[in-house]
Amino acid sequence: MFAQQIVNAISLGSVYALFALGFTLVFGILGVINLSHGGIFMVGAYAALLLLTRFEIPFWAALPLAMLAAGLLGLAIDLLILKQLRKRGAPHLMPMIATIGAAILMTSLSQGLFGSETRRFPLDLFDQESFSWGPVTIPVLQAGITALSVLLMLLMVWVLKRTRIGQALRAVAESPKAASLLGIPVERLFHLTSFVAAALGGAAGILIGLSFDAISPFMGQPMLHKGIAAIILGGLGDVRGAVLGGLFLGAAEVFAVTVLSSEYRDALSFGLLFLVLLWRPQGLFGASATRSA
Amino acid sequence: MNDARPLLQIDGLSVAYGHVEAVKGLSLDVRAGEMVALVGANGAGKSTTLLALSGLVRPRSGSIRWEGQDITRWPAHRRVAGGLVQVPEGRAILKTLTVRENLELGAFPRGGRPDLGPVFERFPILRTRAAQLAGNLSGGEQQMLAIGRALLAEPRLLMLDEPSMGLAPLVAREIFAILREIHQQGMTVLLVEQNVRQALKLADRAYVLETGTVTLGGPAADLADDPRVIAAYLGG
Repeated sequence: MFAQQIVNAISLGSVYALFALGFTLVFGILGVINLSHGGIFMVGAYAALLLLTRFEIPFWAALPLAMLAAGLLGLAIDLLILKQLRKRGAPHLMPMIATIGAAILMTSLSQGLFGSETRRFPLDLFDQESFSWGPVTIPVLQAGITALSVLLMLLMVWVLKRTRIGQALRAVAESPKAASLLGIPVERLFHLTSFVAAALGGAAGILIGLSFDAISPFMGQPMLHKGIAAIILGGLGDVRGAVLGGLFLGAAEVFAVTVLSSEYRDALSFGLLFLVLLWRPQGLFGASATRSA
Repeated sequence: MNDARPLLQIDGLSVAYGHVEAVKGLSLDVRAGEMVALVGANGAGKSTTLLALSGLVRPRSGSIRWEGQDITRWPAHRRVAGGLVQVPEGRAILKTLTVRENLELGAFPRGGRPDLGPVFERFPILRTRAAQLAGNLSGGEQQMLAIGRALLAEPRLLMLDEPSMGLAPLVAREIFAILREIHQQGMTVLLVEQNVRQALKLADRAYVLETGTVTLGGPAADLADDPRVIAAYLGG
């Protein structure tokens, strides 16, 4: 029973972590909290649904195409909203307000285009079989979701740690001014970050849609709350923190359902967030680092 | 050693922060192979001039020409790729990255993995500290890292803003010796420095800035003997 809960916690937590990773990348590198990330997450799920049902594209092709669509949406938000605010030197609250507007626009458009009712991915998409390992049973779908989340996260961490572009991104995260003086094209890296973060958010939308077997125009908002909780738990702007924060939140939810009941799931996880912030305002894993100009 | 045509030419440059004009109609030039010093009191507009040269602040008017080409509107990264490289005030070390990563990023505009050998030969301490976080270096070591990193960008004009600031006198002397050596090897240097005596000793030519404009200019040795400079900056 306990082992099964651990597996469930890792599975749920890894998708939360994937969502939170995109969210924290934008915060860490652009220095803004992009509150349209939940909307992008929802659009990713609908893009995949459309590709699978309307265009009958196989899942292995629909996933990267839907991620591309979500990425392009993220890029558009950066170019049309965030860049314009950067140019004008807008205070920190402005991007938050503007991206709330973008999220509401996305939700309304999705409602208009697809209706308000909950939709599902096609039933025959995945093998309904499960792996059994002693007391633990893992459905193939759940194993695939976890594996894909972990793979995307490892890829991101590798890029940030080991590649030239990753080094440049970390430089921008620490100081856009210092990065500019090194000849790093900071604006281009802002665009790239917005694209990649949104693609990861879109992937999380698809995986959550599969995991809960439900897609709706309103799925972004609760996920946004979880994303904020995960990155605050982990430490704002910290990639490892976002991953660990996501896993922590997933575990808290799974155990809340086991110990109490599903009604208390969010109450417990957000109560936990409150307690963590009282204890460590910089988050569980974050240093109280500040970004220079 | 000096070419007739300036490598860098600034004409009538004005930069303002809101309503405050930090640089007012400033004109100066730097020729290839020279070391030119910009001296003046705090708030004279020296750092703002360098920021405008690097493309980090937008001039209100005037022009910046680099090898005869107008670069006034170029973005910062394009200027670095073109050879205008700055070691800014406060050094802008990336404290959460290692010394090696800082140096590798210095060569970012050149692409590929750089050869750090020559920098390690010039600054052996950086080889020893290569794997450490740059934030853990002492002030002098950070300045060496900043200069080494700038050299990896293969500058044709190295701009330095207050390289001796915050350093113990002995360490500052070491930094000035390094600058002299780099210049003697052929590097063109534009030096902003509050230690006017040292700056005039090092430079070939100098400009004196007051409230955002050039008030005096000429060979550094002549300025060092100018009674106005002596009275204002050399404690005469």
